[in-house]
Amino acid sequence: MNTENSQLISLLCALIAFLAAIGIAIPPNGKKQKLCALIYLCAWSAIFWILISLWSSYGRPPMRSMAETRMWYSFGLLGTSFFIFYRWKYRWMPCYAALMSCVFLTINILSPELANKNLMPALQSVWFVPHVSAYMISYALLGVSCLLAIKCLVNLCSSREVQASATYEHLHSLVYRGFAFLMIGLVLGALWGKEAWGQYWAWDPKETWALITLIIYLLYIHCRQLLMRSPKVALLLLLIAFASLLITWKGVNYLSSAQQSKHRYSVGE
Amino acid sequence: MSILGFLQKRRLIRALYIMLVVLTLGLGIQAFVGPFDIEVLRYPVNLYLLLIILIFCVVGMGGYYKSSFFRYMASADAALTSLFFLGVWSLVLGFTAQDKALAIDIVSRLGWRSMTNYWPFVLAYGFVLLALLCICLKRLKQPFSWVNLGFLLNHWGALVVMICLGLGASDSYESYIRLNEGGEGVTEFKHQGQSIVLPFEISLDDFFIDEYMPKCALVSTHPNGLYSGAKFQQWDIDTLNRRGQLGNYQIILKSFLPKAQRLGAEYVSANDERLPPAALVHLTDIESGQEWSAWISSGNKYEASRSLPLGQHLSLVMRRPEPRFFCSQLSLRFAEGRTEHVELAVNKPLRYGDWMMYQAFYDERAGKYSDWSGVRVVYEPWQGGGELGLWMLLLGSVFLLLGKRECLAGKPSVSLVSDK
Repeated sequence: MNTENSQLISLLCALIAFLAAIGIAIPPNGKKQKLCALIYLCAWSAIFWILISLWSSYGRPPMRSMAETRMWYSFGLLGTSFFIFYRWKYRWMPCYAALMSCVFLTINILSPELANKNLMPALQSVWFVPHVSAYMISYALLGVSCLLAIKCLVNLCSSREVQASATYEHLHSLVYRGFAFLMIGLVLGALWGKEAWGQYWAWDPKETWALITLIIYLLYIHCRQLLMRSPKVALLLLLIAFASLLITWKGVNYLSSAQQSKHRYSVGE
Repeated sequence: MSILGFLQKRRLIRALYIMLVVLTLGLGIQAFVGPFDIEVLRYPVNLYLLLIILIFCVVGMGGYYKSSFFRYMASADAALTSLFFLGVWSLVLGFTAQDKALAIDIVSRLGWRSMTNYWPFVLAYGFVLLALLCICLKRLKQPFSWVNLGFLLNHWGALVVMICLGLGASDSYESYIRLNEGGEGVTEFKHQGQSIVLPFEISLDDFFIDEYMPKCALVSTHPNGLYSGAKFQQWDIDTLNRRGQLGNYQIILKSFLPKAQRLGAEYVSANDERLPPAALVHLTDIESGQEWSAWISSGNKYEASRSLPLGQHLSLVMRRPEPRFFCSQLSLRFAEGRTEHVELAVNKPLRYGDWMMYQAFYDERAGKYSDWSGVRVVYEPWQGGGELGLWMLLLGSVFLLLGKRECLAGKPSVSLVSDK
């Protein structure tokens, strides 16, 4: 499968997932919802199959470039949101997550990158897949938590109480798990850096921004009691943290301080 | 509570106050003493400092816990202040290139181009270390529980990492060494003006590199470089799949020679390792139907490249092959007369006690004809501790995922109202 076809098919699958998610969100429940859920899962599985096909055709894990990580993120987002719908019955979650996936996959089409089957020696490491996977899972969990935070903020603006709500607890649970994967990704990256370059930590801009994101989420976790009476601050903090996450993932490539970054291999040639 | 109300909370104001005090103190020291030199913490100073801090904290947490200083340092407030410190300085590091060689500007005058030598950063690091230690000691007093284990792993892990990679950094030496193939061995290197003797003599017997197949690319002779007018700008040369599309052109690979000798307008196969690859390609413009057929070559250190002009501002080129794998065959001669022949590759470092060697770089212009190799040697006696701390953090994160966790601030609300 070539790269252009894979991007188009992935976007098509995400659109199908979005349409199915609309069916999930709109009542009534019952057979219609189950059918839409099945279609959603099929579209999600199709994206996974595309990723595996790319892996096979490239002969390397498709986790090197921004476009490839966007595909993994879309896959993770769709899966995480469906799990949250299934577990906690948030009917609207798959809809918004599928929409986000469509946006990311559309970026892949509008801003195509050079497909490169080659994998530079520095990336040929056992740490490569676990490191990137941990980050993609954390980004998906934290992306969904960001959606929940926006929902809570909307509730707050409608003068509804959030502190005692199930959404607020679920949000906290997601942040904890997303943070755990973020930490795992960071530690695996440090272990890999030691093996590849001889340094656990080099204050590389990508590493530094990953640390900044981690610290903001750490602030949220440590200040929970302080923030219990200020849910608006807690929710805004989560939005700031997600913005920092996006800078870590994509924005850092545009910073002038990052032009000599070791992580520039993830930028399209 | 409004955002303004939140910002006026005593805890936040206290945290900001402490940050201001530390910043002022740090700037004062920076102005009068100069940048922080990590060499002053070289062994045994760092070990004595660590012991003093440890004894101070153990005694303080044990006998003098009623003092407001230790009560504060072991509290969530100190954690908040620590995180603010880390956040602020990380943000500065995130926006400023850490390169002293950059031109003098306001950032370098502030000392932010070398943050690890900046006193406010160093004092903040010390504060965080102290707070972590106090929090860890305080938690040790509590009876064991699975919830406690996750906390201990995360916080003790962070503490061990900060000690070993922070205080321990002063005992590290590292340098890049250029080794010439068949050249003289290297027995020492310079580290901040000081000569550091290696435990062995390193010499390069051979440098090996394996390359991927080269790619064809459309190149604009405009200043922008790569042709940006089409979706496909690169095409992997593949002797099994000889047809492809490159921009608005159909490309057919007629012949590929991994080592090609140039004869006029053509290339012939030759058995000389110094020769570059060449390919005979046939191009067809999809829109106009115009065709071209010619040899192209990536060239190398010994031979010029050859491209195919397609118009006024466009050419088809063969890019130099990218490395798939490279390694150095080294000879290590030890003082006792023993010699070891080893292979050093990327992601496969070699370890001899506290010394590590890494395959760093080579002559990229020469590519597979590089006759020298860049090796990084690192002496890091505290490495084991750093690694232990990282693995503790990893396990602690797994506890966050799987185990019960304690909300630092007490139990969350239990009256869960559905608002889906």
